[in-house]
Amino acid sequence: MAGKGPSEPPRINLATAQVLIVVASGGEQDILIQILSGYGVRTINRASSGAEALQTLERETYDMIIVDHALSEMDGFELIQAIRRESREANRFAPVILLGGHVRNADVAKARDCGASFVVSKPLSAQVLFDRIIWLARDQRKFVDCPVYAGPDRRFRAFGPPVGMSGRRHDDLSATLGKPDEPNLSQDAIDAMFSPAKASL
Amino acid sequence: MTAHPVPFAVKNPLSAKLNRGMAKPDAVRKAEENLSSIKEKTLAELDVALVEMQALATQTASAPSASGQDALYRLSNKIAGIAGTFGKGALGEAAYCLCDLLDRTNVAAKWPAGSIAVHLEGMKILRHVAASDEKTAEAILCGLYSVVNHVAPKPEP
Repeated sequence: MAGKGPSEPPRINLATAQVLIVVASGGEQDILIQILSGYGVRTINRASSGAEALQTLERETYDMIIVDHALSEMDGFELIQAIRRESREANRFAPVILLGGHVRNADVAKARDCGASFVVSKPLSAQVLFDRIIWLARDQRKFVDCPVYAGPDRRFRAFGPPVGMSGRRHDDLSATLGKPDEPNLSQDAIDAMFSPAKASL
Repeated sequence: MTAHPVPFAVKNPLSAKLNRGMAKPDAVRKAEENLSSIKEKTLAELDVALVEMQALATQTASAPSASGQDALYRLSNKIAGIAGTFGKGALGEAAYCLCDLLDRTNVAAKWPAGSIAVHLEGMKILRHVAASDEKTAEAILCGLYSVVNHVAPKPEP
């Protein structure tokens, strides 16, 4: 991942960022606070339940929200759904990172549909979280708000509508394949891909 | 045909903060320094969680309950989430394996007291196994995965 130039490391100035972390366990809150402080974040608000988080979301505007999935009463998935549906506009569209540990079998669909911007699996590492924040800062995905889902558009690439259907969005690609730019690979070239030879240097 | 939602552009508050401020190597180094300052305290919390789990395992072995199962699951999930950050990845993996077992267990059917006890013994050993001792960790984890796959195989999708 690069910064301005191809060889420069990525940079981000989080000194003025306001971050909300919603994690039930004090130990895990401490881990996040230490990592984010290391990145230069000065304003970190913490909540240990969904209800507490919704209260602070009514008062404050956040640049990033980090939610653990394992909260009691209202779980992390339900909290993110509430943020996407009910909170003030600035927070509704804020980047939300869902921290995932072991997800119960019954909750897999909830995790998929909650509207998080990114899922980061625990255990956390300083390197991985930094990469994910950079990814989110570069994220230009549009938002979708409909009865069954509210959150970032989950299509990372527009592959176009299924064959026989007209596009439903203005930026859908055509379902019809055009002519290839280059000739097909020869059979020898394809065979070579399946039986790699040892390189002789 | 129902109307399809139209995606709309929103302002990303993080994008204006890119390409200035701290570079990744500095940010990661400072974050890791900060983490090392809470390592001992956090590992001590994991030890407390293991003691609580042992008490719950003893209690549920004679009187299985949904609340006991939930409490065990939450403590195990907590260890799974934290241990790897401080070089105890194998302990975290064993805890994750126990989460799998508990998630697939129907408390009204047969309570897997023996399998839970085996996991806890494995986790206690892994808490003190050096990160460099990969063979020991691998042997214990292989055993735990075999137990879960035998006692509570993954349900068909």
